Order: sequence, then C-alpha cells, then structure tokens
Amino acid sequence: MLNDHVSYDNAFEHDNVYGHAVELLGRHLQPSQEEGAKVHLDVGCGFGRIAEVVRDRFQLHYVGIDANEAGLESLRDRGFECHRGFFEDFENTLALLRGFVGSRQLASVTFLDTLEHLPHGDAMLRAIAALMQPHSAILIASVPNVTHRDIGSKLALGRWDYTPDGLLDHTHVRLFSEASLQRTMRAAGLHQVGGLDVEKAISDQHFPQTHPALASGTTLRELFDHLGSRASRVTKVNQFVRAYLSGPAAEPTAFLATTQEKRPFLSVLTRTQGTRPECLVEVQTCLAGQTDSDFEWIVVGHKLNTKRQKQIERILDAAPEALRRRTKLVLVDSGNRTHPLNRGFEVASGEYVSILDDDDIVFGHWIETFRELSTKHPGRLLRAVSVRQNIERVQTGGRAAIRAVETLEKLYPSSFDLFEHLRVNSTPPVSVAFPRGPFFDLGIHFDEQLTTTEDWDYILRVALVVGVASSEKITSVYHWWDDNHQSSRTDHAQTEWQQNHAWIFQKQDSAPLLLPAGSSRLIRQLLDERDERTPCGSFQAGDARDWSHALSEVLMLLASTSWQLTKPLRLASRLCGAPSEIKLQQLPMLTTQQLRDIGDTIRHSRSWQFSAPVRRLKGFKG
Amino acid sequence: MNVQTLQGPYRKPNTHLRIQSILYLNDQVDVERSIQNIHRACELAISDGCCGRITLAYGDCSPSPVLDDKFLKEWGEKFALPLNLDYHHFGENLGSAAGHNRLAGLSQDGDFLLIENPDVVPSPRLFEALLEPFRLPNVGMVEAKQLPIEHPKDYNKATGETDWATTACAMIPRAVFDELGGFDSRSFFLYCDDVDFSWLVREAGLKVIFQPSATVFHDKRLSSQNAGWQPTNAERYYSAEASMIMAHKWSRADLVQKYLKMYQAHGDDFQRKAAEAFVKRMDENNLPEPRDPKHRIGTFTGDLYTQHRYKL
Repeated sequence: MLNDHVSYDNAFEHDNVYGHAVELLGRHLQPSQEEGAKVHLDVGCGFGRIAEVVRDRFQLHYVGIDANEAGLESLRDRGFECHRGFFEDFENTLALLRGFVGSRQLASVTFLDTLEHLPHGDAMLRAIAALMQPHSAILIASVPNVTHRDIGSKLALGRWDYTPDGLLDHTHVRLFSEASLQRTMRAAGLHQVGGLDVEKAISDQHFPQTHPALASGTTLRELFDHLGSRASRVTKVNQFVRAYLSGPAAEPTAFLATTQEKRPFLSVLTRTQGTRPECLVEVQTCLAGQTDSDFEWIVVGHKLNTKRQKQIERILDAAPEALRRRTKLVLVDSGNRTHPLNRGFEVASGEYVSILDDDDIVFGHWIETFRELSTKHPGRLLRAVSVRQNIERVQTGGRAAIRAVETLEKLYPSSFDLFEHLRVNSTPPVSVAFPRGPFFDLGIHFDEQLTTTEDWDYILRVALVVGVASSEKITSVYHWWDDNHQSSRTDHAQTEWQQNHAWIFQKQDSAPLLLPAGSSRLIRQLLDERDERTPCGSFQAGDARDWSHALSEVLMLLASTSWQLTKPLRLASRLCGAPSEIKLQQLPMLTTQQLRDIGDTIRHSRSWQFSAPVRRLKGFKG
Repeated sequence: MNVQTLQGPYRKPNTHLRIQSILYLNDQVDVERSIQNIHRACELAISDGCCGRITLAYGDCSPSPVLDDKFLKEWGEKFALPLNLDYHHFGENLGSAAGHNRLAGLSQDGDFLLIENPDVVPSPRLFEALLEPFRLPNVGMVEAKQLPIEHPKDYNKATGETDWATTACAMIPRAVFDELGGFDSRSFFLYCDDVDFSWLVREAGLKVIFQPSATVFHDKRLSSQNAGWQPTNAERYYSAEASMIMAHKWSRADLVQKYLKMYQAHGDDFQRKAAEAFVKRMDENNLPEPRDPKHRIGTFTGDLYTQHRYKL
C-alpha cells in the first residue's frame, strides 16, 4: 500500500477496525490443544497495531507481512517477527506465505483494509484460502464499504470524491459492496462464518456538509434514508469486518455476468389454506386459459395439514404439463396471512409479481394487459380493473362448488388515483402486478405487523416509489363471500381493521412522499375545492397536523377496548332509533372539527361512561 | 324415450366420449390452447377410469381451414394417445346447430357427446365432473360452469337441476342426441339452439343439470365503462332472430308479437333486419311447428328463458 500522503499508522481502538477484528478473532479462534504458540499471520500488516493484543490475548505468535518497510521497522523495533513481501500471482504468493509459516501451525490470518489496494486481490485471496485449509485456520478480513450512504447519496446526484485515505482512498483499486465482497470471497473458497462491521453514521465522506443529500435536516436526506434503510442494512457500515473459513469455491467468478437472466414475465402468487380446493381449481383453470403464458405459478400453502397438502398437490399435478412445469408449491407453517406473501415473493423469479388468491378469478387477458402496460411503462406498478362479485359455497350433487350470487359490480375506478389511495384502498390486489425491483432491490416487503389491509399498504408503498401505469380494461373478478364462509372479512374483528388502518396512516406520515408529475396541480385543485366549501378563508399552518391528530384520536377511540366492549349497548340503542355506528371509510373525508366532534361524542357517550372502570384498570389516558 | 338406456355408459372404462366443436375463423392459437388442456383432461379421465376412449372432433365452417396440415400432423403426433383428433373442413358456414348435427352424423361413435366451443379450456377433471350426474336416472344433459363469467341462470343448489343448458360446454348421451334428432338446425343458426335442445330434453322427460364443480374457462370480455356485455353485430342479429323463433316454436304468440313490434319500432339496424327476416319466414310458412301449448316446458321469464339469479 504505497501512499505518499498518509502512513496508515492508526492506533488500536476497540471501536475501530482493529478492535473489531480482534473481537471477531476471539469469537472464532479454536482453542489450541497443542503445545507451543501457533502462528497468527497479519497480511498487509502496516504498522501491526494489533500485534500486541493478538499476542497477549490469544497467546499467538504474531507474524506481520507487508510491502511497506516503515511499518515493518516499527514491528521489528517492538520485537515482532515480520517479513517484506510483494504479492502477484497465486503460485508465488502461496509459496511466499507457506515459506513464512514454515512448519509451524497456523491458527489465524488477518487481512485488514488491504484487499482494496491489491491489483491481484483475487489471487491473493485464493492463496490465503489454500494456506489456511490444512490448518483449519480462521481469516478475519476487512474492506471499506463503498455503499456507505454518504458515498451513495452524493453519487446518486453526480458527485464522487477521492480522498488521501478513508472510504475512497485514492489508492484503492477495488471497491466493495456487501454482495460483491461476499461473491469475491466465495469465488476464492472463503466462506463467511461471522461478522462485526464498523459502523459510522457520519463517515469521512460526509462532505460538503451543506450538500442537500447529506445535511441531516433536509427532506432529500430523509427520503434517501427512508428508502436506503430498507434497501440495505449496511448503509451506515464504514468497513465490513468478517470472519471466514476455507473451503471449495462457491462462485465461478468474483464478478457478475453481464448477461440478463431470463425470467418469466409474471410470477402469479396464490395463497391458500387448503380449505377450498374447488376455488384453487378455478384459479388453475383461469391460468390455463391465459393468452400470455409467460408466467410461473407459485402456490403458497399456509399452515396446511397433511390431508390438505395432499389435496393441493393432487390439484397441481392435474394441470397440463406446460403449466405443471411452471408451478411451485411453497409450504409456510408460520406467521399471519401477510407472511406467505413475503415468502412467496422471495421465491418469485418473474419480472413482475401478482397476487391471485385462491378465491379470485381472472379473464384471459389478465397477463396480456399487464404486459401491454409494462411495455409502455417499464418498472411501474401495473394496474388494471377488477369487478366485484359476491359468491357462496354450494354442495351441488354432493360436490363442493362456488356459485355467483350477484351481478359483476364495477366498484373500483378505471384508473389509479394515488391521492384517493392515501386514505382508502380501491385496488384489489388481483388487479395489480408489482415490479420485482421494490421487493428485491429496495427491500420493500409486506408489513407483517398488519393482519389485514396488507395489500393496500404494499400497493401504496410501491406506488409512491415507482409510480403506476393504469389500464381501463377489466381483467379480474374480485370475489366476496356472501355467506358465513371464512374470509379475511370475517376472520378479523372491526377493531383489528381499525388498528391496521391507523398503523398505515402513521407510516404514511413518517416519511416524505414522492409524488408523480402533475401532483401539484391536483393538490391545488383539492385546496381550491376545499376553500370553496369553507368561506372562512385560507388553510392555516398546522391544520394538516391538527387534522391528522384528530383522525388518530378517533381511530384510537374506535379501536379501544372500552368502545369494543360496549358495542352490544350501542346495538341496542340503534334498535331504539339511535344514530348508526361510525363508519371508518367516512373518517378521512371529515374536517378537523367534525373529527373532534366525533371524539367528543364518543367520550360523552353512555357506553364510554359505562366502560370507565375498564379504562381505570388499564390506565387509559384518553 | 327409453331412459334406462342412458344409465349404461356412465363412468366405465370402456365409455367412449366424443368431443365436438365447430370452428369458424378461430385463431389457431386459441384452439391449440384448448387442445392442450383437453388432452390433459383426457389423460386423467382415462387413468381415473371415467372413460376408455376419447375423440376430439372439429367441424370447420370457415372458408379456408383454421387448422392447417402442419398443425394437424404435429398435434396428431403429440396427442396420438389417448386423444383421437378428427378434423373435417366443411367449407361452408353452417352455423352451430347444423354444424354439430353434420359432425355428429359423420360418425356413430361415442356413448356421450360433449358439445363445446372450440376456445373453451377445460379444468383437468372436467369429464369426471360432467359424467357424475349420469349416475342418476333420467338425466339428459349436463352443463359445465363457465369462467370467468358464470351464467346467471338459476339452478337448484342441491341437485343442479335447471331449465336449460348452454352448449358452450355440455355433455349429452349420444342416445338422447340421436333420439331428439340433434339440434333444430332448420330453425336456429347460431343462437338458442341450445335452449331449444334443452327444452326438448325436458319435454322427453329428462333432466337438465348444471354442474358448478365442472368448470371450463371460456374467455369473455367486459366493457370498461359499465362492466356490461357488449354483443357484436352478428350476436345482435341472431339473438333477435332466435328470440322470435323460440317464442313461436314454444307457443308464445304473444311474445312473438311483442318482440316483433319492439325490434321493428325500437330496434337497431340488426334487430330490424332480424324482424324483417322473421316476417319473411312467416310469409313463406318456413317456421317450426309450435309445441308445448300448455307451456309446461317453455319457461319465458321476461325476456329470458328462465329465472336469472342476477343481471349480467
């Protein structure tokens, strides 16, 4: 590491790369059963500032290796064995390293902040792996993280700053993300067994401090952090510090092939609990009739017992070979109804993923329409139109079947209205196809805290990042169970739906919104319409916050145990002519004052007074 | 009719099923998709012991063949067993009723005829589900449920009994088909031949069954504006013509007059032309003999041929 500007003589600190490397070494070092000190090889040792700790803490014989004489002199002066070495091809490097170890037992190797400086780093890694293998030695390696948010935020906006040392040391010849490091190591036969990365929320690349993508108070920074924190768990990692064992190479190369992987256009995800096999047959038949057959079918069986699993397998096996080849059954035994969606997405290989639950059905141009939209607007959330139809389960001639009981209703709008979706969902999941990018590249997963409305939440979160392409075509039928048949509408109490709504609203308000072009005009229109209805004049600053607060208050009251426990009382009152129950869907359309009035009405209601003891027991503050 | 003969062939390893479809300017890709799924349904039906032999017969009414030689050779080889492909290019547009009659007349094979549209995609165990009701006596016709738009006509939830069956996909014992002389092709060209046939089945003392567990995919499209049905011009013409003939044949002179006046006074171009054609047939005494004078069978409900569960 020849750098005329810095010496790299950094002190050992418990919270820097040296401290983390030694801590990690301690976790993975095997206790020696043999007499005499084993060797610890510090490749690219620099000034060897870990030497004393390695010797004293682990009773290892420290050996430093570097090309820079200044560091080696320091080590010699401190009484440590060290060697000068230049590393080029695999054979010479391995011979050199073996020569340094000689007949001694090798316990461990450190290779700290060195790999990024080496033009022949891959050969070096393979040589280290080969050296380690007969000794079952452990390697601790570290490299700077080029995906640190300070670098990424600036690069996204066209700025890239080399510095004398640090994350973008001007002498670096290789740059590493977490994934590229892992691939590089696996290609050399080094398998990660642990890690203790060094995190720095503010790195040496945090300049200029006035850059809008860096300054902590800006909306842009908030947006980057909001997206970045899901996309990667290492945005604040300064250096990856990882432990490895030697084994066979697990990747063909350290780099990715540039050719695009062939994917099906669509992954169709069907959740089933196996309770209505006749519905699954209908889904299967609709898929067999698609005009565009470039799809795979992932059936996620959730908490299936053996009998139901066999029944589903029999149905899937009955498909024509062309469909059978493209069908996967994924078994999920845990979690709520949202969990199977994440598991299904994880195994989906399609460019887009669509949710076709086992009680919905689709028209022949369902996939064809998604493809048309994707051709015009690649990468967007694709949205066609669903019609709703009520169904019931029947036993006709002794065979279970589904019977439509009402007409096909066009209840959902022909195009996607983002603003409308901020307050209520008007897009059944079967009518959309999600691009794979948000899930796989941005880490936007289904929120498993939600036990209902998980589809609305996900649609909104994806739509706000990638935008939406809409088609007016009706391509699916969203079924509602007309009888007491089990469905998400009957499985979950009203209070649970309300709590989930409140959580979604809270999440919406916790991050900046990325709105598509044209949104400003729509907002102006909405404000103009509101001003026409409210003659008192302009909206005051803070009103939005007040409204949001009033809405949250009402939602909390409606979801409270007190309100739920006293529901029978209100039912009795309504039978005597009292006003009907407050409908959740109406709330977002009310003014702040109307929401406050509802809150007051609830608090002054007889049922609220009646349930006062419950609140006292629970320490309720409302 | 000796209905006892109908109980013989139900679900036996030697039962021969003949599937019939009439082609008219269809897209070969749609037919191919259908055949692929029919083939799988055949494999399962035979391995499950529902039947022993299945023939898929096409009568092509298009000016030039929809299925070319290359297609027939490839698919014939691919599906040699257990599905026999039997293709006939008629070279003239016979309509569905006459087309099916001619196709059925080309071979006396088959214990059952499955009349279906050529673009229908069957569910894998369709045949088993359609044959099932024939375990009971007096069943003359069994209809499959269409997806994604289920037909709204009413049926008995417990038994499946209904007033009429569409022939988008319906199973008929060969004996019943022959005994009734097939479809009334002299009266009907494209529409209502199935309603009329169903009523003939019931008139013969047999039941028409809707089997909702027997599903087929029959691609339809809805209007983006109102999710309604958008009939083509041909559909408007032939359904208007058929409605008047049905009313005449099943002794509802009041409805004949009602429809005639309605089409003449308020109909679109196609319905007016249909009214003209009907008057001409009347003048030429070219209409079927009216039957069911006491209206035991013909169930006209409003403008429909039976009670519907909901509006489509």
